Amino acid sequence: MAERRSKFEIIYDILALIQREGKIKPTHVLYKGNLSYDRLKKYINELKEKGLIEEFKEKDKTFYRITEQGIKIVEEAKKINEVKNAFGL
Amino acid sequence: MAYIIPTQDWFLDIIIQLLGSIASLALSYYGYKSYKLTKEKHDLYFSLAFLFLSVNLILYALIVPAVFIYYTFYRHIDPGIFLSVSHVLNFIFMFLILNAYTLLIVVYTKLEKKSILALWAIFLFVITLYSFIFKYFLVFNLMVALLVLFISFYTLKNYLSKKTKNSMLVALSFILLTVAHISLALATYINILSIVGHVLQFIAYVFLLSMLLRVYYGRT
Repeated sequence: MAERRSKFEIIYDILALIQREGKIKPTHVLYKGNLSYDRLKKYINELKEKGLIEEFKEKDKTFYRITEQGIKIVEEAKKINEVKNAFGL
Repeated sequence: MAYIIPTQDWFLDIIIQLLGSIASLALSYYGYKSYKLTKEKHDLYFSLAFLFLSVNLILYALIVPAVFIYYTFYRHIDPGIFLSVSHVLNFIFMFLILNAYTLLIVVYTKLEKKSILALWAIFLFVITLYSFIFKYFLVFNLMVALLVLFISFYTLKNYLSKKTKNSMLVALSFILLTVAHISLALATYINILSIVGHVLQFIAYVFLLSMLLRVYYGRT
């Protein structure tokens, strides 16, 4: 059975996904992020509060995109993730 | 006036401690950054553990030149205050290092129960006091070795499952630290083991720093 992702891994995966896609709909984050709707909503709200992603509308459709701060965090998170992997955390 | 001339061992000791403190500070930084993102307790414990280790190693590195400066320039001043301060620092040093490794074990075992943590903190305090009062560094170093051995087990298990260079460096580092502390414990009886212990600590910190440099430059 696959190990449950830690909160750090989930946040990193969501940010990296949004960065990769450029702009992404909430439903796509849900499918590709492999999370339940409630958990995703919780994380998205947290990331918006921290200013790491922003929500915008295009042709009446909601999208998310990563902010400059979010991009910096993704770069840092890659390194943090690697340190955690090295320690097995 | 008599002077204490620092030998190359003194400077080697300082270099080892500073190397270790740089590695520990960097690891504490990564832990703190993770905690800022996740607000998970165990990320904070990881950061604190390495912060304690870093402070501990810096204190230790400062004591050596402090002793040199005191005995060279301020010997005429009553040594009472100096000795009291160095005793207090010694106690802090022992307590910090035990707490640091315990925090890492808490992170690995995902221990949450506050009652167990509180009991463990009291136990560590007692061990530190005992080692400090009776100058029983054998007990202290063996206790540290036991804690680090526990951590080594987890890091080795991690390396065996991931087989990455970084995980190998971390596992080797903690295994070497375990052997280093056993050597330092037995140095009470066999003097040369003190040098062995310090050399092993040096290599362990070099491995940790190598891992950090590899992460910084994007190597897995």
